[in-house]
Formats: sequence, structure tokens, C-alpha cells
Amino acid sequence: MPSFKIRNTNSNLVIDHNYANLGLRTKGVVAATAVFTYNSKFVDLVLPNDQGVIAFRCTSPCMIVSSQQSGGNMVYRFVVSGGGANIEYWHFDLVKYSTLYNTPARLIIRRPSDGQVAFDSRTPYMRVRQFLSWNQIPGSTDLSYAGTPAVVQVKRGWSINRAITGIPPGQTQFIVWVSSWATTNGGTVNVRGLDYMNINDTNPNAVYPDNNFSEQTMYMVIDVSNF
Amino acid sequence: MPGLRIRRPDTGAVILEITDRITRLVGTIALPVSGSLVVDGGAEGDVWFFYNFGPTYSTNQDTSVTLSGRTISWSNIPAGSTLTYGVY
Repeated sequence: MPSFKIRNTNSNLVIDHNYANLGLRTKGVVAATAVFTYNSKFVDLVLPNDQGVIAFRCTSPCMIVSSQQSGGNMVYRFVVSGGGANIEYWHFDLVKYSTLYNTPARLIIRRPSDGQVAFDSRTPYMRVRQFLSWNQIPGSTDLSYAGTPAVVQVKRGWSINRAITGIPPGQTQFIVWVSSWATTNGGTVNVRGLDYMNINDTNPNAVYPDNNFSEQTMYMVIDVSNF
Repeated sequence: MPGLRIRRPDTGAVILEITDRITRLVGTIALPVSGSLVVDGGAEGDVWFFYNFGPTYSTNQDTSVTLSGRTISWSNIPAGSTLTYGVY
């Protein structure tokens, strides 16, 4: 059985019969309206999920403070500084969940071993433009991209400066500095350095690392043009 | 310039340029509590990854996931978490 390979002008492999990628499963818009803390609002977005990756755009500083599996769903908690701004999201997952472009013209590549589709040009595949990692984000950083960039928050940076127990009684209050606010405007992605929020936790048995910090903050930038 | 360009017939938007850095999925694994992974497998390009924490994850849990070169390392990961990774 013949195989198939396309290489680009740098001789890097682009597509072959073993190609695999995630595809767009769903997209939408949500608004953060519930009060979070420190002049910010949150919204919980619940999406059916298998091996999903979620990207977002927001004209106000936005971050995902938690993502957690619940049954067959993933619950993403978005927090928007100031609140009010809509959050556009694109959820990528295994291609079997993707809606194909409705067009008769297509390029389909199958695996010789079993005939399964390896590549279908009608699939809205995920397009990573850059994977970014900082030990500490240098203040406020603007990054420009062709097309329409959306942010995938891979790892949220944080630094816990102090923890106080018993304020108010029965709760733990701590101040955590986070470094994952991301803002998108047109082709520009802005990521912002450390900011803080007060968080009260009603779990009396919670244990927090005191005066600790994460070692890396990581983002992916995805091109969501024409999706 | 030689190449391949695929457009959507309905909108004319370019779906794929042969000169693109195309994104490829290399794999997904269930994460043990700690470990590391070297992304190679003959795939070309830079590394990307994303992880989904399991249902026991607490926002206060001191998890660690790092990338150094092509090596992804992790520790203190809650049960049921997965790592999806690839190249671009």
C-alpha cells in the first residue's frame, strides 16, 4: 500500500498518512456576571469533553482559575477583571466530535493499515501558533499575530504571599498573586504579570503552601480565523 | 512557489497552506502522580501540550507541570488527569 507525505519548503513533515490533530468541537460566547472577588466576575462553562483544549478571547483581562472534570463534562471557571466583557471560546477535541465544513471539495488521506481517515480538509483543525513559557511574565507584554489569536491557558502562574487562618472565624484567607490575565484585541494578545486577589476558603481543613510560587506560566496561542 | 493550498469553496478562506507549521497531535496519556515524557516519536516541530485535571483536583493543590526542551515533567497530579500533547 503506498504511503503519503507532504513536506514544506524546510523539509519538515506537514501531513502524512499518520496525521492526527484535534478539531473544533464547539464554540460560543459567555458572560461573567457572578461576583468573584477583588472587582472581578466569574462564569462556569460546562462542556462535554473527551480530550479537550479550550481557547478564549476577551477584551478585558481574563483567566481560567480552575478546570475540573465532572462526569463526561469539563467545568471551566472563567474570571474577568471588572466583569462585563463577553468571553468567546473555542473548544477543540478529538475530530470525531467535529462538525465538518459543508463543502463537496475535499482532500482526504487514509491510513494504509486500516483505511481510517487520517486527514480530512473539511475538518476545522486546531492551529497552534506559539507555545509560550515564562518563569515570570515581564510586566505587561503585548504579542502580535496574523489572523485571529485566541489564548489557551496551559498553566497559571501564582505566588502565595501570606496565609492567615481564622479571618473570618472558621475560614482561611490568603492572598494569592496570579500571573495569567490575558486580553485579546484584534491580532494582539496581552499577558499581564502578577496581580492579586483575596480568596476566602470555607474549608477549615484546607492546607495551603505558604510563601510559595509556581515555576512557570504557560500559554498557547491558537489561530481561530475562519472558524 | 511549489506547494499545496486548500480553500473552503464556500468562503474562499485558506484552510491549509503547505508552507504552514501544521499542528499535529502526538498523543494523550493518563497522568500518574508524577513523571516525565519526552515528545519525539519522529514528530517534527516545537512541543505543545495541555492537561485536564481529574475530578479530585482542588484549586489549592500545589501541582507542578513544567516544560524543558522537549521534556514535559509533572508532580503532585490529582487522579484522573490527562495530558494531551503534540508538535506544531
